[in-house]
Order: sequence, then C-alpha cells, then structure tokens
Amino acid sequence: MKYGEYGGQYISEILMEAVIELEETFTRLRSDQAFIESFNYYMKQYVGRENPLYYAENLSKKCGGAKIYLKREDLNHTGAHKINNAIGQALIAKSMGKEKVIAETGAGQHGVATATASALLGLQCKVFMGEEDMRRQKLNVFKMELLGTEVVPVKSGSRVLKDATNEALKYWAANIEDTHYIIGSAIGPAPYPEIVKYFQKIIGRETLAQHFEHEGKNPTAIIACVGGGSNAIGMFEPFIDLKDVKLYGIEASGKGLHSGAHACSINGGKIGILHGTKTYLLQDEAGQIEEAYSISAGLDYPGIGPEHSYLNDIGRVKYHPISDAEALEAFDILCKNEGIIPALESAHAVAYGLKLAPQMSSSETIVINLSGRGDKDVETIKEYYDEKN
Amino acid sequence: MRKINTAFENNKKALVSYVMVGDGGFEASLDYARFLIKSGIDLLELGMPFSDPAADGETILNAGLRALKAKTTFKDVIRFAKIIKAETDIPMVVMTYLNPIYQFGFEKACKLLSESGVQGLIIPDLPHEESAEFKLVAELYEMHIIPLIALTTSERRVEQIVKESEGFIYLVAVKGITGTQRPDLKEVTLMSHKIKKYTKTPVVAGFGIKSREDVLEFNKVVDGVVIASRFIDLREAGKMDEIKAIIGFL
Repeated sequence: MKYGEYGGQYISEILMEAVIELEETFTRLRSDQAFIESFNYYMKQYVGRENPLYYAENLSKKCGGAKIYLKREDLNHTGAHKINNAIGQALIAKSMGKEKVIAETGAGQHGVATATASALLGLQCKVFMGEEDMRRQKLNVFKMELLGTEVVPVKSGSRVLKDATNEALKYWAANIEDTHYIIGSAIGPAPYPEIVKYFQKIIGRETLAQHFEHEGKNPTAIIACVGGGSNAIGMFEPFIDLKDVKLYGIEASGKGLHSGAHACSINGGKIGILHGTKTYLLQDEAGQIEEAYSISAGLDYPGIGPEHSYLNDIGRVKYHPISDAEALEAFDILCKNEGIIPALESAHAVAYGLKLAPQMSSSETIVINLSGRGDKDVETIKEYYDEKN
Repeated sequence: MRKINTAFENNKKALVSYVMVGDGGFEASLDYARFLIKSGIDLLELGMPFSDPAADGETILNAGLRALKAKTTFKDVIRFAKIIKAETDIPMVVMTYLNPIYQFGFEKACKLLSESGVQGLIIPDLPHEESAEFKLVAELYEMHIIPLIALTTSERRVEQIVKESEGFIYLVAVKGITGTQRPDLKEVTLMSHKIKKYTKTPVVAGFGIKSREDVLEFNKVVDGVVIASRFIDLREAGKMDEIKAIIGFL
C-alpha cells in the first residue's frame, strides 16, 4: 500500500514474513463482523466512547469569529486517543495467536495504552522507551509497571522515541515468531499506517455525525496536531473526500523552524526512508536522521506518517508550524477559559485554532481534536516556567 | 579487479569481512582494510555509516557512530573504494542503509561506485518487494543488488528472491541483529539447501559468526561466511594478531 510515492515496506528481510502475515490477517479481520463487533464493544464499554464533541463557547467568544468545537479524546480511558489503536492491535495479535506484544513509546501515552490493552486482553507486554524520555515521564513509566508491563530502557542514540523505535524493531526481529509489534503512530512499514488509520478513524466518524447533530452541516475546518500523525489521520479520514471541509495538520516547531530545534518533518524536512517507510524526514544533507525537538514529547519524532506526506503534496491538508511558546499560551487559555487541561500535543492544535477562528465568520465552525489530556505534562510545564522565571 | 565470482572459484570457500568507512578516521579505516586484505580475505564489504542502523548490533552501531563523528559521507565511501581499487584487485561490495544512498542519489552512487571497483550493494532495508526500481538502475552500471535471505523467509519468497540473483546471496544466519548470538548450524543448513534448490549463485552466511570453528562448521553448508563485528571488536581491543590468525588459518 502506497500513498503516491510514500509509504512502502523498507524493512529488513527478517521482518518481511511477519509483516506479510500481519497484512493478510488485517485484510481478513477488517471485513470480519465478529472482529469489528469486539472492537466496538471495547470502544464503548471499556474506553468510554463515544466521547463528546464539545462546543467550547467561552473559547469561541474569546476568539471571536468561528464557533470552536473540541473532540474530547482526552476523556478516553488512559487519557488519549492512543487506546483506540492499542486495543485494536492487541485484538489483532490475539487473532494471530501471538501472546506477546511490544511497543515503542515517547511521552509514554502509547506505552500506557498498550500496557492497558495487554492487561485487559491477557498479553505479555514489553515497552521500549528512551532513557531520556523515562526521566521526563516518570509517572507514565510507573503506570506501565503497575499495569504489569516491563519497561525496557533504551540507551542508544539520543535515548528518545526514535531510538526506542529502533530498539523495538531489533527486538522484534529477534522474537518475530511469538511477538506482535504494536506501532503507536501512523508510521512504519505497510500495513501499519493503514491499520492505525483503521482503528483511529472512529474519531473522525464520530465527529462527522456529532457535528451534523449540532449544526446540521459539515464543519468548515478541522485541526489536529501531527507527530507521527495518528490522531490526525483518524480525524481526517471521513473528511478527506468532503472537499468543502478544510483540513489542517499542526507540526511542532519547537524553538522555531530555523532554530534547528523543531519537529516539522513537512515544513522543515525532506523526503527519505526511515523505520520502514518513505516520507518527509528531518535529516542532514547526507541523509543522517536528525533529532526532533518539541516541548511535547509526543510530537518529538523526526518523521511523519506517509499518508500525511501525500496529503500535503496533493494539497488536501495544509500543514502549519506551531512553536513551544504558542502551544503553551494556548494551553493556558484553554485551562483558564474552559477548565480543560490539554496534552501539550493537543495544545498545538488549539493554538492554531486560536489563530484561525478570528479570521472566520460566526456561521462557520472549527473542530479541534483534543487528542489527549495534560496530566502527564504538568511537571514539564512547571519546569518550563521555573526556567523562564 | 577480480569479479565477485572469483572469490568462490573451484569450490573455494570465501571469507568476507567488513570495514566501516571512517571508523577511527578515514586513513585509519583504510589501513584496517589493507590489513584485512593482506591477511587474506576474499571479498571486502565497505560500510557506509547511518544514524539509525536497524539491522545492526552494538558493535557496528558504535563503529557507525564513530565514523559519523569523523564526518564520513557517501563521497568518502567512493573515494575509499577508488584507493583500494588502485592498490589491489579484491572484489568489493558496499553495505548501506537506503536513506544515505537515496539522498546521495541512487543512480549517481551506482555510477561512481561502479567506476571505483564496487560490484555490489547490500541494502538491509531494501527487501525484494521494494527492489525492482532500484535494480533497473543498478543494472545500467553492472551493480548487483545482493539479496538477503533470513531464516524466517518462506520457501515461496526464497524462490522469488534468488531466482535472478547475482553476485552472492547473503544469508542472515540468526534471527536478530549483527554480532550477537551464534547461528544454529541446523537452521542455516536447512535454509542453505532451500536457497540452492532455486539458484547456483553462491550463498554467504553472516551475522554472529565469530571464530575459526564457526567458519569451518558453517562452510560445510554455505559457500562462504562474513566476519564483521567480531573483527571490529578485536580491532578495538588492539588484538590485530588474533584477526590475522583467524584469517590466516582459513
């Protein structure tokens, strides 16, 4: 499965048979009524879906212009959209007869989601996490351990998400026969980006119906933050063919696009191949992968899902940068005006919404995907302000 | 320059080794290659460092990081090959991940490497299913894309992969990464037989082969072996005599 020239299966031969098996299983399961029902059951009874599409009246009034709606993925069990995919893929693992799963994690959200799904479905789980991220996200490490997962510290490279992904791939290569790798974002070799989109599209489909209930029409614009891009691709999925709906993906520009400290694969990178897929990447002239930076650990990845690269090139989605400072300001505004503490990732999407809304009319609407809640970020934010003062 | 197939002539078992270009600096890595050649290896693999080497264990990963610290680029690999070509007639192949060669320009790389005496490319993250467009370009410059077979590869895919193979076939002898566990003779034997059902191209086993005993044992079922990580470790430990002894013995 390719998206224009993007995507593909650029992985070592050792992984090929497992990926082919996964592809065959997924193709079978996506039209298997019992599988779909079981996924929907857990989404409703366990994750707590559907979550609201909330009209943020205070925020809308403050901005002036378009009405702002928030899709409340932050209200899911475990506090983010990641659980949708983790449960879906854990169910796939079970269908393949694999008792063990592994995952990579940056901020720890996908790790916690996978640990949760594993506890629920009786799978043995190992999560690979960079040592630096473990330090930044101690609470999530402890949560995973409470859930019965082994967190494996990754000491190679710069000890962050990219390195955790490398190590997870290596471990998978050595344990391919009894282990399924649950990739957390819309990245990796085919069919992963397609699988992740399949389980995350529940976000967009609910939004489409809920918005129609509220407004009797489609939203004017939709905004989602993009690291690897799983919440965004899930949100965009039903809207891609609805050409009157404007779609915005928000990349983290960290300390600025020209600072060398950002995570803008599309706005600041170029096409290359990493972790099995061809897509926009942060890299130097020689094709060595560069470190991504964002205050939000979940956006801190040097690539982007291949379908986003395609949607960018054909102009269907516009990808815009939002800096640390802008995200923090939006974070603060959402806390104070709506009583919602968003994840720093989601605060990037909110920040773009705050820019966009005043340029639109009151008869238009914006949906912002509030992909996660901010409990995990409270310490990071405190550190940021302490350093500043 | 000898062709790759001369390394396997008259049922000779080939010993392949590896140098990470730029590891210890360009000149030092060049000296290491000269040392390996002089000690008697039959085929030389030149490694292009990559920041995210998904198939490599700690030894080669660290060698790559040292080479990157020394600012090694694809141009250095070409220059390296050119120097070796001027000095000896040993067949050479280049091992690189896809992104560095893609950024350099795949066609340009094939052309310049070919002119510098390199006859094959080993690209661990370019499986058969993605290789067609690259093969078409490589062929224009008589550059072989060396296929990799894993112990997990199904017989159906073994057949597809080796059918039109050239140079040699790289049998990844362990389920895992370079330089870690020792391969299992039984598994390697089985896979080697499967491969040989479908091709006459020589089969070389690599990943995890460390000692002269390993080499003797695996050479019974394949046409040659690669020792890479083990020699890098010995080089790092300053035990050049030990490398020489293993190569010389064979």
